[in-house]
Amino acid sequence: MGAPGAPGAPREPGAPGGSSAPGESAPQDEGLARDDVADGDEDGPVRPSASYARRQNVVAALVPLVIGAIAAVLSWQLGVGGLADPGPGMWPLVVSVAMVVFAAVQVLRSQPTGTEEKITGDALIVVVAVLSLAGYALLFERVGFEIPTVALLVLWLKVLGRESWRVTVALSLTATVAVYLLFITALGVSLPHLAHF
Amino acid sequence: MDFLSPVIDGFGVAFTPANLLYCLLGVTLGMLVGVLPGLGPAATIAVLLPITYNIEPTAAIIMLAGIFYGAQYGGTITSVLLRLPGEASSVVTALDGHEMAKRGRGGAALGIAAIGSFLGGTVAIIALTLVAPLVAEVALDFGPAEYTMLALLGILMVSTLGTGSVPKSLLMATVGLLLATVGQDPLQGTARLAFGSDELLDGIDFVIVAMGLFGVAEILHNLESLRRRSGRPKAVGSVYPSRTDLRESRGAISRGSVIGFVLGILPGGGATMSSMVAYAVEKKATKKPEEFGKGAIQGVAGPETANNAAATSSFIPLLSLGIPANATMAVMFGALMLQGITPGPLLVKEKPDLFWGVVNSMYIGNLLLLAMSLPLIGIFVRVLRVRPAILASLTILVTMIGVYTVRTNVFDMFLVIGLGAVGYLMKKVGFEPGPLVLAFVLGGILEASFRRSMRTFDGDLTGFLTQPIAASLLAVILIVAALPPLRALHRRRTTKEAALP
Repeated sequence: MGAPGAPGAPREPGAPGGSSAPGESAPQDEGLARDDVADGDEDGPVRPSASYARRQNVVAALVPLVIGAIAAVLSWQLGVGGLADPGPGMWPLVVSVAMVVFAAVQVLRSQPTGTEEKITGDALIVVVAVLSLAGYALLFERVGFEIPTVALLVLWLKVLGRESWRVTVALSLTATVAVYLLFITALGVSLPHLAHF
Repeated sequence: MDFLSPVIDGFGVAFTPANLLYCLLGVTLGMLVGVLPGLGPAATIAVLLPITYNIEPTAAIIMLAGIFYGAQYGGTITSVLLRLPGEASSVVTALDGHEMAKRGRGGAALGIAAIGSFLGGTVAIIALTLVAPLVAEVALDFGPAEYTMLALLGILMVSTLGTGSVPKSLLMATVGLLLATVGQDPLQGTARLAFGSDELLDGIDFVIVAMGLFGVAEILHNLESLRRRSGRPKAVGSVYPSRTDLRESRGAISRGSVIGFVLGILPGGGATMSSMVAYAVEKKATKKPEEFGKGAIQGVAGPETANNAAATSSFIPLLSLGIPANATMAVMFGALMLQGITPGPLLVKEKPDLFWGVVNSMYIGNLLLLAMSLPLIGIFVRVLRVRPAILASLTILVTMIGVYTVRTNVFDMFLVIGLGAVGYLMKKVGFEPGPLVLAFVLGGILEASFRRSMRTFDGDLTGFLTQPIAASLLAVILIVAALPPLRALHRRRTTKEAALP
């Protein structure tokens, strides 16, 4: 919920933004609201070609297919028991079999649903962001939260966001002090920190 | 009038200075979240969960509820002024709202949306006050069989009625159910799918899942468009609608209240669907259909009233049955559990202070939002100028610190980052996180009640048919499951007919 510009229209006859004939269900009404509305946002996500989206869908469904299959085997080994007295593995087995079935359906019916987005060069920002967060978590307990926090904010604001140095420095320092005051001083949470007052 | 006394006591709770303050804080945050495209109410509530842990339960839920319905007001602003819906539930508002703004009537669109939201919200609170205790009363007799069916129905409806592709949503729901089994067997305590990890043996915390899939994933996804500039907002003008505007919107607002309230209660319904249905209804009800899409005020009034009424009424299944009806309510469920409160039919009786305090705070919240949307609207329009890079950096910081504080555990931080990356990839391939998170929340309830019913029925699956309520719920499940294929068939047929001369 709440993903801006990304929701598809519900499959309702006469859905908003429908064709000129009111009340008639349009054949491709999925994503109609997007076409009608989010076009105002010219830099929206890039929609992939049909074959690209199809490949995306197949790969995306193969992952849960494999995980489901492994989970099914593991659940089986836990002991399934009978329906009257289910073992610990019965429920995970039911769930993972359902997962494998739905994933298989998704592999076979991989036609684009209009919700796929092309993975473009912009994804590099996300890779950098994820790595920086992992580094943040790694350093967090070892050196206290202050230095990693300033470093993370500088990276996100200056490198990822291309803010000016003035904004970057002012904001990273203020935010770090604010976190200190909110979490350590006001809420009394035990964050690993260097400075003691 | 006996039943009214706890309701009146609830006003006492809602009017304590601390709760008023949290209500104000919640609705202001909600307004901001609604205005800023990129972070939805579910993500915001998820990100703030660890902070609410340190607040008294009633105040915490009052604040989180404020964020949710406040976002419905705020979402309108970007829809109308930028044609960029801040929330999924304001998508249809952009159709006519932005047209009005182009014609210099942006203020009137925002004004009527605020008035409609206020009326829809208030009608829904009154209805909630009357309906929720009744539902809870009935649900007191529910046993494991009924809960199995209710949980199943909730997951199925969110997957089939929500936004996004149905097969993809169903697949996501099973992933959520599987994630919920990680940890210990709820009845026997055997370790399951924990891979020998002590951290996983405790199970995956709901807060972590919600923060990762809603919070971090949304932030990462928005990073891609970080360097792009958004358009210039259209001028607002006077926000007070004229007498003609009010007269023309009267029908739309009353219809919107009813549509919103009813659809909000249904699992999978909620604000987004009700706004779309309200728009479709207004388009049919109007005498001048040619004005739709060209700035018809009913096209703003109807959906905006409906999404607010739905936001309020979706609290009914959560607070009276313990079954969240949509993704945001699933996060709210997590917030209650974090406070040691199990939402369900006993809540009204056992914690009347909390229940009525939260419900009655919504009257105040809606009044505050009306004030923010009419005289104070200028302030929130200015918020549109906050640059996304600043927003993203500050939210990720609050998220990371917040995750750590839940269990003072770095492992959870890595888990959130991992889930965030998965959630980002899911968005890329068009998988909605909503059904996954909802199924994750309901997974525990579903498994425990299923196994208890199996024990009662002595392993006989047909036992469900012997319980009248469970059997009727099963019938509803079958109907809901049969709907999407039937609709696809109908669609194919109408397309074929349309193709004929």
